[in-house]
Amino acid sequence: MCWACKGPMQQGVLICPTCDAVSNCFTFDFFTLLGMDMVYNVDLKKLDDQYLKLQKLLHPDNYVQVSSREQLYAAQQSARINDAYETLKDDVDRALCLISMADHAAGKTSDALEGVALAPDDLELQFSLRELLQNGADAATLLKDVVKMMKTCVKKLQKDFVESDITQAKQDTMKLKFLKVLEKDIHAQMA
Amino acid sequence: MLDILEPGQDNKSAPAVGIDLGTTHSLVAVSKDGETRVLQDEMGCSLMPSVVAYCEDATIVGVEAQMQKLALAGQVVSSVKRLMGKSLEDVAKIAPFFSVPLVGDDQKVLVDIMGEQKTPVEVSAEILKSLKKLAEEDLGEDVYDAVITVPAYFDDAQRQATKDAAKIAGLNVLRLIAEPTAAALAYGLEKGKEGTYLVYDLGGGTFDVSILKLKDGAFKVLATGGDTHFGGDDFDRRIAHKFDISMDEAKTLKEALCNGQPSGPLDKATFIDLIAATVRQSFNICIDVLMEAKLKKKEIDGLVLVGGSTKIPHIKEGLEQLFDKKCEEGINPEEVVACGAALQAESLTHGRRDDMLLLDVVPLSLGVETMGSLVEKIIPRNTPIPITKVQEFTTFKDNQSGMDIHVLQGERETVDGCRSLAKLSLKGIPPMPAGAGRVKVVFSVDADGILTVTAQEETTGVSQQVEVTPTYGLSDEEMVEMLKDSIAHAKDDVTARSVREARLELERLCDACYASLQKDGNLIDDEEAKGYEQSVDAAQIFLEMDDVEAIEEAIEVLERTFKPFAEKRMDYALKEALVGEKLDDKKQAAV
Repeated sequence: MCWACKGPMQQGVLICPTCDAVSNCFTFDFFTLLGMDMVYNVDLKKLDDQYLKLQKLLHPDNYVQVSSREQLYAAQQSARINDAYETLKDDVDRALCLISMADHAAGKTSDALEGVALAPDDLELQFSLRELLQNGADAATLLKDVVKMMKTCVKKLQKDFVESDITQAKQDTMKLKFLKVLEKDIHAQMA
Repeated sequence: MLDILEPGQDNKSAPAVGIDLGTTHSLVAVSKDGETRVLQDEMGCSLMPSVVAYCEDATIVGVEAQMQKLALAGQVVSSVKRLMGKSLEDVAKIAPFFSVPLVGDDQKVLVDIMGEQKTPVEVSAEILKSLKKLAEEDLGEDVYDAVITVPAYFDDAQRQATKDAAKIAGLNVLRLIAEPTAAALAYGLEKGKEGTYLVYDLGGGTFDVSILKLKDGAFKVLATGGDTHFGGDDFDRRIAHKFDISMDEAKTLKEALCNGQPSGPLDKATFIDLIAATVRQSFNICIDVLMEAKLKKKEIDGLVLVGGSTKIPHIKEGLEQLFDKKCEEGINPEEVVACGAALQAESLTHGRRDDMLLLDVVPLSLGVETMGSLVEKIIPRNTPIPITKVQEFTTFKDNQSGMDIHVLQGERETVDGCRSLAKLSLKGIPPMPAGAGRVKVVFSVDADGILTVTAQEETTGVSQQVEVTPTYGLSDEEMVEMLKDSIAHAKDDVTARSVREARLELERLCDACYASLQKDGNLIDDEEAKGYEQSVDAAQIFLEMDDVEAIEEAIEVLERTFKPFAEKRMDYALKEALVGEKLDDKKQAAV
């Protein structure tokens, strides 16, 4: 229901079709909020377009001269859209978002990666890569390898989510996470 | 037909202004239909020195205050922007050079005017008051709404301080926007260009560099960096030191040299030598910000210069060489920020909704202290604002009754390397085993870049909510005290505000009622529809009243009147949905 005209408002609609009031419903998941398909392999161009379209409608700058209540709703919707966009844009955060949604649907309330450890092979990989970095291996070469591994890992995650293999997706997200940290550290060492 | 008064525009003609509140100079501008004009005083001056002189019987601001600098040494404050939202520790480095003695502690800094202490916010408010007056005299109308610019790098406390100063000066801040964003706004709108721009802003006291992307009418800040403690003043200081002359004399020499006039002992080679290290440092920051935005030099489509110091040919040439691009030209770098702010002020008040969108970012990462004095980032720098992030923390001891949440801002991983914004204490957590208590901390940064943190304990239903004001911000009591001192009409102000708010609420409701009649009027007969319409017309009359209670009463009456109609609309929508479902079922059955 719309808070302003008290009329009907459909799920996922952010602006009342009858009276243009900003919705005060904040329960849509990030994919629905941005009008994106609920898949890991997101269309980044579409994500950008949708994001911009929604922000142009809901950014608080459009609601400077309205009641403080509607200002607040616009600010909250706009903040969620920013959060959703930043989350879906990022390979790790997007995976975590999908995992949480799947867990939630299965009735689990724990954090997405709670109790998940790196697979033994990945642990070994992490160890050897760290060792290479510390022992002064060529950073540029190492970086190239890590970026390649990240790409493979993202592809693997796409497969995991298509197959709805959430347990495997958790493992692969852990792996992508450590590769990302490593990438940052290599950059830091190069600088 | 009733002439409907638009709320918030009772002094209808007064336009919203754009203010560039600078370290050395300040300006105010207005925009009408996208045409900007920098406002001038009766002498035809637009660039007002950000200098405040506290004389025995009056407070003087601007050129006259600057002229009193020597005569009234110790009573004239300049570069107060450098103190905004800071502590005495923060400004220890510049304290010896400051125009008046600085006092304070690790929480705040105050200026000492012959034994009387003033907060930087109060001094800044004097500058804003003068700008307001200048604008009112130029425009011949009262000025209330303003967009004020701040350096992109300004942290939470500095932004809050700026907003507080505006409040004391009797201005309503429509929005704080970043200076480089304002500059790009001025160029982008006037020339209709799209692309990625680097804005190099070297003013008197601060250096900012930002990379902005202009696309589809949206200005997005991709990355920002800078140093809040260097600018043209540093050049003057070096010249002054070198030739053992005063800062003012040094400044005159510098300006003469840059304009190709005789400059006494200061020749080009000496000058370049004096500023070389600083300029090189500024270029290094440009490269850092470029890396932060994940861009290459050649991906920069244009360079925008802001601030008086960019008039130095050596800087302009160096930057053009570094990026192999020519700088944007056509707007005075000293006025470009105020013009951009004026454009934004017009856009915000005249609802040019689809024309442009300004997406700003968090300039510094926000986080909380965790075990071992480490900082966990909650909102990383360059996240678009407004933003809300929720983080859950669990209790780590049995029967832990409280939790301290230390909010920090900065890029380093240790508490010592970041700036403490606030310490928040959540008390009254009921006894439970370690790990069972869950505290939800909500970080919200609004469109002005100002942070609010709230915390609540979730599991037990005993929830507490604490709002945080930054350590360096003024407390509500201090604010009230200052408002009392400065505005005699503080109470009128509050009343005006609540009238405005009530009218906006009523207007919203009337719009909604008309819209619902327009859309679902077919659900009722004409007679009934007419009755509803008349009740909205009747309520509209209250939009012109000043009596808050009467307006609120009108809202209640109208809501009650429309209740049956709203119920009909909901019933109808539900029936429709059911029919839809049945159709779907039939389709499914047919398949």
